[in-house]
Amino acid sequence: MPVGEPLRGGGRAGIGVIMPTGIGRDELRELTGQGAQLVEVLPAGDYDWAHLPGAVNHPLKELDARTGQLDRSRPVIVYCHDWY
Amino acid sequence: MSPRAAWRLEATGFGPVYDYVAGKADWLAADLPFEGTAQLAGMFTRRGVATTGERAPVAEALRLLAAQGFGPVLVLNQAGVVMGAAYRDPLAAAPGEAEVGTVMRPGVSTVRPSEDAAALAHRMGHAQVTRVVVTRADGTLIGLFFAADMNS
Repeated sequence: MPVGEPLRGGGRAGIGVIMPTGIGRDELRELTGQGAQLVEVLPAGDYDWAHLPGAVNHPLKELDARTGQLDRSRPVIVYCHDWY
Repeated sequence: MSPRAAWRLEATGFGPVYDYVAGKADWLAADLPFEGTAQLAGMFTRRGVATTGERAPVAEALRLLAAQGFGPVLVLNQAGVVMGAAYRDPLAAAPGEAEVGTVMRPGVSTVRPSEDAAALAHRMGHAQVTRVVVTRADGTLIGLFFAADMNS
């Protein structure tokens, strides 16, 4: 699958649910250039080892408690290590 | 993990939420900048190494090799993908007007710039390999990693 092609459908799923949209590298750079927040959801040790420039660290296990640190008015991009 | 995070954020009212599905592994393997303490192969890779095309004459590859002072000369296609490597002895044994593609070694082993540099150097030591070609996942050239550069 070409880089940058959405990996699964995003948007309204038909039952009133908004689905997250899968994106590739090109969309990530475009969206962060437009002000999107970049969030690594891996544990702190993984984040300290290497993270994308400008990313903040909100590990999945702590995500609910940390959502107050994110700006609800801006799009959010989450990522982990790889597909899984 | 990131799909679950994306769904949780959506469920708590954030939007739009995007999931960079290929993740950090994809980013680092593409030789893109990062922040952190990692010491990756890409950081020690020699850039701007000598390259040529398969149709180039052997004499030109030998000139490039002499100017660079180390080998091999990497053979790229028009997209910058590594098609092979040309080494001094086979080049020197061929007629100067022969095409590099006739003497290059195709299918050279490559690594990604996201490999841990120390672990890679350790593996190379065991295999008695002094240098390895570093490419992105799409096969395009980044450069040459020399294990000895880790100590310099």
